[in-house]
Amino acid sequence: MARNLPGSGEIVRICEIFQRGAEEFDGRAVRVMGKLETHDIVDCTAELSNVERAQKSSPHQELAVNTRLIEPFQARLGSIFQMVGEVEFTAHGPLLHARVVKCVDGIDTAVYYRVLDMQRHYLKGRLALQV
Amino acid sequence: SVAEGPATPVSSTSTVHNEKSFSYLPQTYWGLDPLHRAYVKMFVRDVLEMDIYPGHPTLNVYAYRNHPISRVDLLGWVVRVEEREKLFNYAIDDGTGVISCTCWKPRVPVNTEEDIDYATPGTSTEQEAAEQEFTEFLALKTREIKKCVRELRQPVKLRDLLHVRGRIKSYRGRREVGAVYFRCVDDPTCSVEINRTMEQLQLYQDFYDVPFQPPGSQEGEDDTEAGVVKALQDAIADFLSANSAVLNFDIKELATVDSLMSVVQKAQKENNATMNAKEVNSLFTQAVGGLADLGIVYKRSDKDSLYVVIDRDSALESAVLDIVRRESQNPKYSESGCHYLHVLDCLRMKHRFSGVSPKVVGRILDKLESQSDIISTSENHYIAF
Repeated sequence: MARNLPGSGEIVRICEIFQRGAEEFDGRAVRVMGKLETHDIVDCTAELSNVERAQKSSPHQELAVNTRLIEPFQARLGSIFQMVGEVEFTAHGPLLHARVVKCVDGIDTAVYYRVLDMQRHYLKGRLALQV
Repeated sequence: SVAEGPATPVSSTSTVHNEKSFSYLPQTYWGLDPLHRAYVKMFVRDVLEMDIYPGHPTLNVYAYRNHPISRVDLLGWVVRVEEREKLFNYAIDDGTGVISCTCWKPRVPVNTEEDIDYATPGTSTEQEAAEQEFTEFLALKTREIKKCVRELRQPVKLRDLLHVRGRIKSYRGRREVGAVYFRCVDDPTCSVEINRTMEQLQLYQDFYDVPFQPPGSQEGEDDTEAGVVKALQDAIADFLSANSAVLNFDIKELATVDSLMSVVQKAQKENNATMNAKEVNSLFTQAVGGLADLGIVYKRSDKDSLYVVIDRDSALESAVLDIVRRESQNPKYSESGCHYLHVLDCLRMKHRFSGVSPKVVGRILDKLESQSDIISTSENHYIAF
């Protein structure tokens, strides 16, 4: 029992997957949040778009999602979803093989990402101390 | 009764994890650390990466800094569900790591549908009504408990937010949590998760990252400047109580006392540093300042550095007594007594006592009260007859 645990989904922004690229993320598990732009239940594909409007530096980016493992889900276009899955870098860019999905409509994205930054800052600072 | 073989050497070696060094505690002292038996709200990654507490490989106690941690409180997404006949095995992911949690199904039989008849034959109508009410209350509670048990026996879904409390265990070489409590948390807008992370960051910085210091180890081992000042302050207090002839003193005079200088020299030796006369003088000034805050000595005036031992200053005592007696004649204070800050104001009008602090007056008033010279009418008001 309890043999193969899935990898832990590091919480990342969609734009960070594009920025930091294949070397860092290929095959790794991530947890992303985005607005559902398109969904095709036959092909099991969907697209999540960046929800951070305030950050001017990050352009509007869409992450392709393979939804084969999570169908059927309440895929309402325009809703905000969080997904955990593995990223694969294909010829067309990153593709997320989602295995867990959750609708988080009503989330305060600004606070969510601010707390994420605080947590990263803390973990990074502590790592530097422990070395 | 402490016959721990490996405990003693472990406690004496200190391991450097960051700038601050701390020593691991012998098992005897674990109970003094509040984190030992608490459910510590850690990040999953830390639960997985913590070392087994050095010297105690079989106890399932883990070391975060030098805290002996045995129980954790986790909150995360369910990313894998496994059901066995008597238990669930949930893997939960909080964004920093994944850990598996063994959650035993509650053993209460839930499919027994018959409702237990709690009613007992009553004698009066009033009693019957009360019993009826109580029976309904019991039935309601029973239904609630059964509903909760039924829910806990159902597997949760992937993506649900699970709150788990339990002991850290090692199962076939892998760390996991044996849950004593697990509940699904309803969190549609993710606010519970956000608040939880913020709370954890605060807890880590305020408590978990602060190494535990067993009480009593601060003295003698504390080689910071504050520690030296504290040691010096205690030494001066001892010196003053041992030498009842000392009515007042100058800071420079204190530096000629061997027992006090030995404290300073010991600190210098531990820090491998030499201090010039000015630094030594500043140490003494801080220590005497601490005594002044405690109301043991007071500075006679701002100009000279002469300190007076309060308990041996009969002039101060009689001056305070005179003020309380005089003010008690005043119709304004004759009923309720006068406030100690008013006594302080009166006292400071005299040039000789211009440097007296409120603490000093409080101490003198306490002393006068214990001698039955004055009476306190409330916490801060005093009267004399």
